[in-house]
Amino acid sequence: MTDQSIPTRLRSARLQRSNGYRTAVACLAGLLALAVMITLCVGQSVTPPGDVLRVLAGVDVPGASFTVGQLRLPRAVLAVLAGLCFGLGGAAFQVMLRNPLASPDIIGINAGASAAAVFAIVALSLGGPSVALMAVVAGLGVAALIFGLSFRNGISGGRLILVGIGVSSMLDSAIAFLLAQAPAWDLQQAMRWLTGSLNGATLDQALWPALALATCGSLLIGQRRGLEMLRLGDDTAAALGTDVARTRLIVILTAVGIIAVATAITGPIAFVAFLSGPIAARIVGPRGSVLIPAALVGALLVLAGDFAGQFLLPGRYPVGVMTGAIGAPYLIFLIIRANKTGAT
Amino acid sequence: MPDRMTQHSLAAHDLSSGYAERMIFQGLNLQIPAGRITAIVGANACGKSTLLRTMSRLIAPKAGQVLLDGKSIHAMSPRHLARTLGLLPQSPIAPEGITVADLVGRGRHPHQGFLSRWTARDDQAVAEALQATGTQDLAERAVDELSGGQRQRVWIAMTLAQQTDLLLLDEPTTYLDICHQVEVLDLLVDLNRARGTTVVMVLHDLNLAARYADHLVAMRAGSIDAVGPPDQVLTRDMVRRVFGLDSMVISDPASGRPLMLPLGRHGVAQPAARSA
Repeated sequence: MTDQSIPTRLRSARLQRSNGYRTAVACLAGLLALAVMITLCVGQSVTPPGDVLRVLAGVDVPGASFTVGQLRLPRAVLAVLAGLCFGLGGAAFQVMLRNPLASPDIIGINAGASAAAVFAIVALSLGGPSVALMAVVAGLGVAALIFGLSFRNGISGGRLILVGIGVSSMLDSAIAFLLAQAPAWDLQQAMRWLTGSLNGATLDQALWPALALATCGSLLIGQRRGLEMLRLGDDTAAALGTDVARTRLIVILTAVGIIAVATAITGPIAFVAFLSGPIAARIVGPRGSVLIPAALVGALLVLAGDFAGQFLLPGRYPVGVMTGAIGAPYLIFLIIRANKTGAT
Repeated sequence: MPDRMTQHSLAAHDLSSGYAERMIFQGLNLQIPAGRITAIVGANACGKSTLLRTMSRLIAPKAGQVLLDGKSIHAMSPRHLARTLGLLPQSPIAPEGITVADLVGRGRHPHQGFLSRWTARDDQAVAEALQATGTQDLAERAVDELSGGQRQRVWIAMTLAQQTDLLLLDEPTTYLDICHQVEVLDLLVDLNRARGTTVVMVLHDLNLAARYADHLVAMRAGSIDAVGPPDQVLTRDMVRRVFGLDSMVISDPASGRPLMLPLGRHGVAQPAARSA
């Protein structure tokens, strides 16, 4: 003898929630498309949108084909792909461990990929795909190390973050050591890469992050319902029929995969993984999974950061400097808040 | 709701469980009576939560089996088990800003397929769960804003939406004041009477356990000290063995069930002797 109006009310509230979520995601996607268009049109000179579209369609437009097709387009594509990777992977870790500090760039996964890449550049004088491969392997290795060290009757977010920060600083000193040994020309390349930069982007570089997103990224998004359940706590998620260990394993492997691939191509663009999830959560609220919105926010951050670093400031700065300038204060804010509430 | 008495049997068979290298209990046997309310009581760290967690598959046993209808629960798929056996852990986490209706709806997870088509049956189940717990007027409120008692009712609503015939609860009354404790226990009895749900709960309060449960399981240091109806289990000797406490057990004038009055060293006519 249920009151018949209640299911109807629930249904409309539920539809309102999911419509709100879809609208928010659509707005983010629209904003991203707009941002891409702006970065394609605006640079040292301004190209009319019509010319940009014609270049994109493959028409040879004198004066625009080179600037748009060879300079701006690869940069924008790489910015979007790297941003999607960082945003998606970062948010997946934060949701899985229920802690915004559990982002791969805080717990040492980026540092692992970076150390391997610097080692490859400086000590082995490698370049291109072999650097990327070493970064991916090292990212996975560091993830295994952190999870192994912090495992005790299950995984606790707080313990993992502390272990990760420790591992991260160890890797940072390894990077500093490698840089101190580096010959001057390698040093410059390594430093530029370490700040996270889209300078000299080419379209073939986009292949790897695109592949990583198509494979690891879609597998990861396939876990979004399981991740939503994990937000209720591991016990509750398991009680509601989620295979916690399996969900976690898939999330870790795929998230580390996309993060490390993106890191290998663009360098560890500071704090994008860390910032995207919380910003996306602000936008979509508790209405649905934060993964896809976080990926879109990540792409927007990298794109906007790169654009601002190139054209909005006196002098040119790599994108990592810009995102770092936004991310660091937020990190401090989070730590202060965690101290106040005593959160783990 | 029809009176569907559950026929599901849940039993621990030679069960050993613990954490890492620390064994909490060994070779434990226990049969949970179907369609009844069972309360597990015992001193802190006696293994009662570990038992509940092992019986609900949160912990893999070191040896032995937990049998649901004669089949090991550790061999079942998580989703399949979650349609028959529900569990409310001690400290579930409400995601920031989530609404009551959304949280209760998560209880439908084991009933939904991979593509998560939400059906009218799901809405109906959530509505019933909200009504049964008296939380229908809170449906669109954020869980963070609720009082402790309301929040606990919402969590119970989530497990009700799961529509399982067995419901395990790990200290469902902790952190609640006495009024809300009674409210939660009344709700569980309602549920047991209306749906025939088998309820198993770990409870701290011996007297409330004796009042509300049909069946008491008293645990001491990883083994079962006494099992049976409250008037046979809750005795002065059991309280001394299990809690190391001197007490008086009288008949509760309000319920006719046993009522335990602790005898400490102060505040009573005949104080207990100082223990060695």
